[in-house]
Amino acid sequence: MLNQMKNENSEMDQEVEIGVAEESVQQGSNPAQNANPPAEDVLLELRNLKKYFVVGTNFFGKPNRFLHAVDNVSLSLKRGKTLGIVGESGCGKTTMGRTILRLHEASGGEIWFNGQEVSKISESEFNKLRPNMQMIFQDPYASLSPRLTVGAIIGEAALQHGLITKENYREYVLDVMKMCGLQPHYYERYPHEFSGGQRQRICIARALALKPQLVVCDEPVSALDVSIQAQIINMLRDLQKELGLTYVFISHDLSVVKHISDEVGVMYLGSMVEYGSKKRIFENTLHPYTKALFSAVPVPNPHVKMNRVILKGDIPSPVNPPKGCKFHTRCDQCMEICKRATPKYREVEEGHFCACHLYASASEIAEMEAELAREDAMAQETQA
Amino acid sequence: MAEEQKKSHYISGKESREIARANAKITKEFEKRKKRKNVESEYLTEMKDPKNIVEFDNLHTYFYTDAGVVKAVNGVTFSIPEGSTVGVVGESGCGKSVTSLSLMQLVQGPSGQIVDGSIRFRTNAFRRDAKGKKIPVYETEEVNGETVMKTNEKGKPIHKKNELGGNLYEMDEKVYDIAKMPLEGMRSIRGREIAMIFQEPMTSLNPVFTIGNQLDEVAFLHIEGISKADAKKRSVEMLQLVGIADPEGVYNKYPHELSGGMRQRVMIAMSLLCNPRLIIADEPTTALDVTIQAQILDLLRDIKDKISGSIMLITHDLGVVAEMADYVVVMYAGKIIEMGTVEDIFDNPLHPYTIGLQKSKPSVDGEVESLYCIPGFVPNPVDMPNYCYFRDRCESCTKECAGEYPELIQVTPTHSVSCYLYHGMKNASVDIEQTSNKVTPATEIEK
Repeated sequence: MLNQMKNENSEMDQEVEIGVAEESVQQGSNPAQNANPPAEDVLLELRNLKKYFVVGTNFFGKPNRFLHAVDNVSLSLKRGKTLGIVGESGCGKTTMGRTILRLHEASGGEIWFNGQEVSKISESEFNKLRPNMQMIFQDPYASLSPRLTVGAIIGEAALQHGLITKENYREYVLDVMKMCGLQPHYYERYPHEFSGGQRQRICIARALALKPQLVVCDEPVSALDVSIQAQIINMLRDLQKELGLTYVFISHDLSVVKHISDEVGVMYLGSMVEYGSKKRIFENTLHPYTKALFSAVPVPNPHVKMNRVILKGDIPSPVNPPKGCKFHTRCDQCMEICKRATPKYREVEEGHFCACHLYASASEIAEMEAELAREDAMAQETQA
Repeated sequence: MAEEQKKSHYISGKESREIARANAKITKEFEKRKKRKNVESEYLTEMKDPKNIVEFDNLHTYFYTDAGVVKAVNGVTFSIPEGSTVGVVGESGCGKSVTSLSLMQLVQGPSGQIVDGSIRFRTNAFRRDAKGKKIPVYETEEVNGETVMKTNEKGKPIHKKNELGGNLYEMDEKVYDIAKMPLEGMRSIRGREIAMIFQEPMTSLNPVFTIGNQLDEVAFLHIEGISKADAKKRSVEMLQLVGIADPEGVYNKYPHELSGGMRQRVMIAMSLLCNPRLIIADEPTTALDVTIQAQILDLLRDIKDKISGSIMLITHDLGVVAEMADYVVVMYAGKIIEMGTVEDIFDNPLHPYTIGLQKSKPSVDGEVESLYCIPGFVPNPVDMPNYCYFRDRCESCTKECAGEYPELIQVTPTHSVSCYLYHGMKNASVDIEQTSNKVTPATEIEK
């Protein structure tokens, strides 16, 4: 029985890989497909990263329905920079963060960390890299063990990875605590004795105790009050300057992302719809979804009357996303082509990527239309 | 170490038991009073200003916990004018939700109790006869020049129907003091005159009943004599009003089949069912995405105009308040520290806390190097200091601040603040220009 399951698993893997291969053929000259390592100063690079969850199986237990949580995401992040990921709930931003750290196994694509492909190496090999990449979770109330003292929480992983010994344990932990604005007498206390902001500081201290290069912050401030939010954001920035950290900052709050990021990626239903430097994204917004998202943020100024793009309806189910452009069901600039063909993720201006048919040249659209017509003809033929 | 323990408000088990025993005595009294017989004359009052629909007057709501008394709402006075939106802002734990729950008498008992003060609410109440019974209005017809009551085949008179399809009774406009009302009397107000939209649309809908079932239930409870067909008609009508594309379909669905935005729409439909005079929206968009939030806010604004009611909007998001509210009340640690029109609060904030709050929020259209952050934390709610609660976190603190808690003073006719910095300006428009220069709002600095 076990063997059978294993076989099936490997079959499924094969399937997914075949899917990747097919797409690479379709997309032809995609630069992200070659096996070259990224440039020196790039800490993290994702190439067509995919994460599918199985939601349905057929009669024999073979998976036949997938939830496309992360679908073909490619990006690269330089050392010491902050990448902000925004999107609505259910768009796959958290799953992407977790897949980078291999808390979920990727279903396809490559993750390059520090010039090394890490998505396919063995678990024990990856464990050696773990101290370099850490995560701060969303809910500081749920992510701390209620049975451990603050000292034990912060130092445990560092001891496990052999960064410190039992002799200098206390000293080291106190150092880290000081760095994160925690007073030394908190060492013996338990998490329930702290407020939300303090707990988030403990979570940050726990991540930084391993001297990581990359920190994935998954909505670190959304559970906190505005005045505490500011404290945590300032601290994250100061620590970045001090320690040269690289952040992947996941948030649904655009104003926070704008404040902290150097580069911004906007996700919708598992795909990256727009990606570029902060300045480019905010000053020259390209994708209709990004435009709607930005205009939906309420501004704390009663005199500003927004001419809002209000999106109709809800985000579609990621189990069977709409055909063609995933956003076409809610888009106010939807064209005929959007309903059929998936838009290419293209560089519209330097370092500013966008996946939208609006920015395709007329010849490209004509080509796509011709192909669709050909497909229609084929389908009719087979029917006849 | 001993000193430290004192700071962390440590209490022993023995002390805690003692406090619990004393609390039980006090809360028992309050509970008894809530369950007493409903006598209308006990809570009938008059409005101070007839333009208002609700007036909070020195409201105190306490929680009797085992660690001590938490003064969640500690002397709150403000009013909601008819047809306007009042936004209540503050951080978590500042008492904004408890204020709204007090208005509905939904504070979690027996530990939570309205201790002092009054909440005056202008309502449509039934006119009652000498026995305390409601006076119905019957259908009449003209027979031989005389007006006679219509009767059905059994010889009983037929009720006249109101616009919702329920029985019509003689109504009066009365003013009730909700803080003194017993639970029995509250039932005629909750849902019918004041409706509430809660933060979590998932937890406030019952997962085992269909949407239609839950909507109809409200109609059956609050609209007397409504027929099944009328209730359904009304529910579907309301679902349509809140912008649900397929109201008949949603009527037969269960809550888990809907998305967060749709559930919140259903909640709004439910609150509108009985044409309430006041809608309390307690963080209606906090659990939703920005794009869905924009839809819901748009809907609330539309609906306010359609039903010509008032909205009490509770939120921690300054952006939402700026967009929705006409008047803003800023709360901190159970007290109002500043209130005024939305222009007053955002163009010319006076209290250091309001200024700090506005500066600490990063904005989408501005750019700052480092965010301003208010130092320190909210004081422990169990034993509040007797000086200004904000003193320990305040940067513009003066000698006077060592004195007792500053009163709420009126700076302009619409704008009040509770801070010693402005006590010199009482009743005069001195130097408002000057101070407004000193405390430029954050948005201007960034631009």
